[in-house]
Amino acid sequence: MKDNQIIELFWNRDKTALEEVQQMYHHLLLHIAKNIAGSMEDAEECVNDTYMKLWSIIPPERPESLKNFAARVVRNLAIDVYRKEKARGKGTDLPLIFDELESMFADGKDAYDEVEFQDLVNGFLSELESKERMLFVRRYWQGESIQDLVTWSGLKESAVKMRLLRTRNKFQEYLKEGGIQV
Amino acid sequence: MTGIELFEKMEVIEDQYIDESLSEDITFGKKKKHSWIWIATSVAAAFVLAFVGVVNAFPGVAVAMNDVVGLKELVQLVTVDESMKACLENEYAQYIGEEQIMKDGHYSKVYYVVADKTHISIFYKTDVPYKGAEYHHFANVFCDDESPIVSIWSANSYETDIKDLYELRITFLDELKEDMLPESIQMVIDFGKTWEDGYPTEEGGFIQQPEATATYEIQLDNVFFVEPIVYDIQEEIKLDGQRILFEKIEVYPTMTRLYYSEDSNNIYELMDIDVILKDDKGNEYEKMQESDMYIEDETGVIGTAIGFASSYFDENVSLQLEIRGVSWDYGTSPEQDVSYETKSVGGLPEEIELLGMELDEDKTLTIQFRVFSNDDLGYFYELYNVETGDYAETISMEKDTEEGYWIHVESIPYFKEGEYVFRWGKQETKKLDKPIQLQVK
Repeated sequence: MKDNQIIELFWNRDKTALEEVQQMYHHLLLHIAKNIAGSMEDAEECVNDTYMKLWSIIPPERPESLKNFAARVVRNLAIDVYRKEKARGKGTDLPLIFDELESMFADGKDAYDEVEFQDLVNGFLSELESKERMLFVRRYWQGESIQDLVTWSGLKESAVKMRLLRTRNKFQEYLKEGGIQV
Repeated sequence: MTGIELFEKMEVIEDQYIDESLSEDITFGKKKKHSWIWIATSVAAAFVLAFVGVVNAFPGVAVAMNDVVGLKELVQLVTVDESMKACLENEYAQYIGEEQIMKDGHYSKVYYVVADKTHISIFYKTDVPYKGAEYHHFANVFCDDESPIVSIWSANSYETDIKDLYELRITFLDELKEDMLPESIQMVIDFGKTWEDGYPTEEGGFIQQPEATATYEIQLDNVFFVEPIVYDIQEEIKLDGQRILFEKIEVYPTMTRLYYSEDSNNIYELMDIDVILKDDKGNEYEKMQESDMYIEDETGVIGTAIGFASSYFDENVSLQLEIRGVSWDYGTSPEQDVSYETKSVGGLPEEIELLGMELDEDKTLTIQFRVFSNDDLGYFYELYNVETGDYAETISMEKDTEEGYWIHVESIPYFKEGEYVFRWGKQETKKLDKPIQLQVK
């Protein structure tokens, strides 16, 4: 079933919508939640909460992409869980990802308002090649570990790390070109 | 903003890029077939280390383990890792000797730890109250929260047999600063039945529901985090117009690290160096698998370090680097058009040939290519939707009758003219006619 058909089910208050979402995106949502929340137990709870959240906000929401929408919801819920139970984050790459993000922004990380930040990040992504961009988003949006990226990309671990590092360097260059001190 | 706040703020990434990154389905527990056709270089996320046993000549540990059931089997085994063997022979190991025997018959014992600033290896045994290939154990290690060792390569052994001793090895992929050294680590061993497909799950486990779990808190003796012996090299070589600076080597008990950097003006990306270390005694120290490390400072990447077998315990007078070859990535071509109407793919190199296209009733386009790829020279490609980022699915790859060539079959569901593009690249490994020698010590 396509996204728009599932959204129609939501709008018709047909509970098979949830079964369809589960069938289509359960593994994807679980994957994102596990990346961030750290434990499978928490991840499953996040995914269940995501289904409930979708049920409560569609309608009135009518997302263009149900997949993206659900992924954003589960990501936010998983971040909340991570904040509450940092210790559960053991075994994830999140602390390393946080370090990498901080190094990208360096001293300029407090210098942007919401709009600037949005323009900055999306402007940068628009200039990247697809492969680099996907690695970047999987790492810094999905919270994927290096090993997951290795498995996904088929690249060597060293190559994944190198590509991410180069992308972070490019980001710093991008900030400098825009006159932003890093 | 803190790291987590920055991560949270990445929420602003637009839908088109999220969609692109999500466009390839995540399949839990199975290796994902990917679009890059350089398949030969694919690696699994988890792997099993070759068994590493204990040699007879390890009196310190042998004495401590005299009361251990199965010791005879343990000390009769011979390690295949020469560096680890040297550590054991020189009593460079911390005895742990803790065991857990559960009522239901699950058993485990941690014997000892070999650690330095590049590795931590834990040697342990397990046994289960049932037999059969579908049952395994899965071990993992956690460092405590205050020791920020987050970039590790963890290898897990999972065959269960009382006669086997397992090594769980953690390789640090970052330079380990003094304040990063862990004081303790937690090892968790789960026992249970494996998944039917034999692949690990997303949470990293090879087993379904753990039937038993053993947890060990291991205090590490910091006398084993010795300083390395350092030799400066600072020699630059030029190959194919690209410059590589060999900076230094650091010799640790379990491995040696060679540091080098690529000139920022290089056009090609250095993928690999075929290099060994030799000493005056005729010993040759070869590269270790999965030991590459990237060195960064606040400006970004400043170099690479690769690992070799260690000469730490060898009494040699001189050490020499011998560079035998390099592997380059020459970059990728511009995006080219893919057309079913003209049955063509633009800008193909001679080594990638389009054999045919078929569009079936369901609008699935099947494309067949003939691609050259061997151990030394490989062409790879990407075939993807420029709008959605969806990649064509590789249906099959079979060897062609002509040496070095492969037949690839790609499938694109719901194909529409003009949506898909093609891009190719080339990687090459070159052997040097005359190896380059650099004196290290």
